[in-house]
Amino acid sequence: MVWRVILGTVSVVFMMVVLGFVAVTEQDRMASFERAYNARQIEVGAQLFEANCQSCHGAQGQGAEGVAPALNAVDLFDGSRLSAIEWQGTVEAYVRGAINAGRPRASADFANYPARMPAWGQAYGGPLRSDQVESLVLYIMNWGEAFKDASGNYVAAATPTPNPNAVGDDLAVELPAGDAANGQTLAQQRGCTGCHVAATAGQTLVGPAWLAAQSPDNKGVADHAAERYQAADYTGQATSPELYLLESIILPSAYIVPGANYAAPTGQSLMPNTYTQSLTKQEAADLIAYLLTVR
Amino acid sequence: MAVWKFHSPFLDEVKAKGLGPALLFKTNEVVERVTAGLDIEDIRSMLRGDPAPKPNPRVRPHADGFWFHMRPTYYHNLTAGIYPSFRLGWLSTYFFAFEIITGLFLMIFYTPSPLVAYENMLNILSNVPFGRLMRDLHKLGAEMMVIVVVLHMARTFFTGSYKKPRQFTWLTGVILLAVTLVLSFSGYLLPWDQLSLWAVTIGASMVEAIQPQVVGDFVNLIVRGGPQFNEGGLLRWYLAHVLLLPVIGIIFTGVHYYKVVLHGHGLPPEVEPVGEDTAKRIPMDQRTYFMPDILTRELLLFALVTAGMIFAATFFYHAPLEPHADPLVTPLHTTAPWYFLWIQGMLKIGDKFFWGIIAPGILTGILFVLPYVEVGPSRRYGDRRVGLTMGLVLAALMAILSYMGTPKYAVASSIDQEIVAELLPQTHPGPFRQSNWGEFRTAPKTAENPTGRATYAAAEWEQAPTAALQNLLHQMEEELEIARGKAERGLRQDQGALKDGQGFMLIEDWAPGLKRVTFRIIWEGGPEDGAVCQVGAAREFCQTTFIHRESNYRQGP
Repeated sequence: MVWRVILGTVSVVFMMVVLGFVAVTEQDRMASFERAYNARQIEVGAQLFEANCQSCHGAQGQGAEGVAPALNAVDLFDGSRLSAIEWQGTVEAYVRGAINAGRPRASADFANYPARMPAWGQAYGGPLRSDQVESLVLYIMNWGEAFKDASGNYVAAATPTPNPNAVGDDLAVELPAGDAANGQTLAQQRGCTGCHVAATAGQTLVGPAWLAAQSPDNKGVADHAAERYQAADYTGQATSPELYLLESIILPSAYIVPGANYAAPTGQSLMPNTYTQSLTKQEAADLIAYLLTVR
Repeated sequence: MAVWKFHSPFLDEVKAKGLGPALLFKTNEVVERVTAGLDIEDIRSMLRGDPAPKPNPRVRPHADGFWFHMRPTYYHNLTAGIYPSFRLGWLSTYFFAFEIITGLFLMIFYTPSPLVAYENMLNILSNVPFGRLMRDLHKLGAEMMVIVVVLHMARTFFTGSYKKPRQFTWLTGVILLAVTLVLSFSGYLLPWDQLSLWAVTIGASMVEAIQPQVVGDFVNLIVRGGPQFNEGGLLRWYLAHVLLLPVIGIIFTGVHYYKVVLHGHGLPPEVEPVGEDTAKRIPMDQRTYFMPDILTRELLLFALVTAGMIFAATFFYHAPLEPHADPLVTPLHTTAPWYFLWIQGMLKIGDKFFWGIIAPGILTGILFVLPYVEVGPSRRYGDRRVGLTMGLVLAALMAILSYMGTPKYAVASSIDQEIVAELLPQTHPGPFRQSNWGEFRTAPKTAENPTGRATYAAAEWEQAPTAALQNLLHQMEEELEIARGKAERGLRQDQGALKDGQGFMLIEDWAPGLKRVTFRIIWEGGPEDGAVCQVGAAREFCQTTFIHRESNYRQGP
C-alpha cells in the first residue's frame, strides 16, 4: 500500500513536470511549427509553379517577353509595380487575387502581353485548391527575400547598366552595315519567327506574316516594307524601307498594320516594346538586312 | 426585517464549537457525501492499511454511490492480482474515457468540412497551446486502445471466460471491439490528409464489391456520402466518430460492466471444479476488498499509464499529418491502418467480394456466436487443446495476412520509383527531407550553369562532399546494387531488377533558401543522347523535389 501511494504520487508529480515543460516551451514550438510549415508550403508551391506556371512565367519566374511578366523582380515586391496600377492592398493579396481569378484584361503598364492569365482558383473555375494557391503565393513571395537588405526593406537589385550599343528608340540612329545571314539566325534566336512565320499550315499568326505565301496579299515583308511607308494611312516617321523596318522593331506602336488584330485593346501593338534595349545596333542592322531579303 | 432572517445550521455550529472545528466538521460531511459513505478518517485509515473496522464503512459507496455500484465490493484473492485479467478490461475503459476527453478538446478546434479540416489541423499544431500534445495523445490513445481491446479479447478467449454464464458478456465485448475498430478507422478520415482520404477510399471500394451490385452501389453511396468522397462523406464519418459510435460504445460498456458485476470476475480456470462457476461465492477468508486494495492499484495504474502517455506524446510519439488530401494524386503505396492490414492481405488472394466482405464477415460472425457454439464445460487449458490451438493458429494467420497486406507482398511496382521513394517518401518526411539542408552543396554559379547545378553519382558516394549526401547516395547505391544483382539473375523490372542501374542526385540553388533536388535513375545506359530528365525519356526515372532551409522536418508535424 505504501509503495503504491508513493509511486502513484511520484507519477503524478512527474506528469505535472512534463506538462509544465510543455507549457513553457509551447509558444516556441508553435512558432517553430509555423515557420517550418511555411517553408514546406514554399516547397509545394515550387512544385506547383513548375507544373503550371513556368511555361509562361519562366522556370524561375524571370518572365518571358511578350508572354508573361516577371514575378521574380523587385518592382513586384517593393510595391512600385502595384502603385502604378493604383492597387491599394498588399503585394501578397495582389498575387493571391491574380492567381485565383486570373486576369480578364491586361493592366495598362503591362499591355504587351497578348495572352491573358487564366483563373487558377477552384472558386473561379480553375484547377487549384485554396491551399495550393496559398503555397504558390508563398513561393512567389519567397523570391522577395533576395531583394531585401539587412533591415528587411526591399531594394532594387543593381540596375543593369544600359547597354551603350543598344539600338535605342530614336529612328535617327546610325546603324552599321547589316549581315543578312546573321540576321536570319537572330530572327530564330529572338523568337521573331514565333509570331511572324507560321510553322504549320493554317496556323493563325499573331503578327503580320513575313513570307509571301502566308500573307493574305501574297507579298513578303520586304515588299511590305517598300510599300507601307508610302501608304496614305501610314502614321509613322519612316522615309525608307530600312527605316520602316527599324521603326517596326523599336517603336512597334508607331504604325499598326490595319485589318488583323495586331493591336491590344489599349491600342498598343502586341509586339513587345523591349527591343530598344535588348538589341544592339549591329543586331538591328543584321535583322533589317535579312528582312529585306524575305519575300 | 423578518425577510432577511434566515437559518443556517453552519452558523449554529460555529457558535457552538468555534470556527475551526465547525469548518472541519463541515468538510468531513462534504467528503462523506461525495464518496457516498466514507469520511476523512475512513479514507485515512484505508490508506494507512488499517484492517477494516466492523461494521465495514468501506462497502457503503458500493451500495449507495453510482460510480462504485458498478464495481464489485470485493474480489476473490485469486483475481485481485495481475493474472488472470491483466487489468486489460479496466485499461480498455481507461482508454475509452481518455479518448473522449482528448477528443472533446480536439472537437473545439475542428470543423468537418474539406475546405477547412486540414487547415484546422495546422491551426491545432501552430496556434493552439497544448494542441499538438492533445492530438498526439488522442492518436496514441487510439492505437493503444485497439491493442488493449484486442488483447482483452484474446485473454478472455484463452482463459475460457466466455463460457457459461458469461456468453452475453462476450457478445457485448465483440460489439465493443467492433466499435473500437470503427472508431479508430473513422478518426483516420477527419484530418483530411492523403492518409485519411486513401485509407477510406480503400474501405469504400471494398463495400462497393458487395453483391448483388445494386446493394454494393447503395452501401458505397452511404459510406461515401455521394458519388465522390467529399463534404457529405466527411460530415457523416465525423458524426459517426463523435456521436454514433461513442454512444453505442457507452451503452454497451454499461451492459458489459453490469454483466461483470452480475457474474463476478471469473476465477483462473485451473482452480475451479470443471463445469462450475464459483465466482459469485467468495469465501470470507478469500476476499480482497475493492477499498482500498483494488482502488489504489487502479489509481496507481491510472497515474502510471497517464504519465507514460504524456511523456511519450511529448518526447517520442507525434501523430502523422500527411499532405492535404488530393483525389488526383495517388500515393505510391496506400495501406489500411495496421489493424485492418489482414483484410488488405486477404484482398490480394482473390475475389474482392469474397475475401473483402464474406470472409471477414464469417470471421466476425464466428466471434459473435463463439460462446453459444463452443459449449464444452471445461475452462481448463489442458481440456481445450483443440480450441486453444485453433486460437493460436488464427492469431498466426492474422499475422501472416497482415504481412501480406503490406506493400512488401505482391505489389508490382517499378524498382526505380521504389528506390527514390525510399529516400523521398510521398507520405512522410523520410531520410532526404530530414537531412541537414546546409549539406546539400551546389556548384558555383556561372553563365553556363546559372543555378549552380551539382551532380552527384551514387556509385561515387564516397567522394560526395558532405556526410548527409554520402548517406543518401550510399543508401541509393546499396539498393541499386541489389537491383543490379536481380537483373543478373534474370528477373524483370517489376520484380525489383534494374539492369546496369545508376543513380544520381542533381542539386540546384533555385530560389532564396530553396534548393531544387532531382533524383535520377537510369538503366541500360539511359537516354541515348545523354539528355538529363527530358519528359518521356526511356530508361530513365527522374523525380524533382524542393527543399527549404527552414522546413525542419526533424521536428515532426
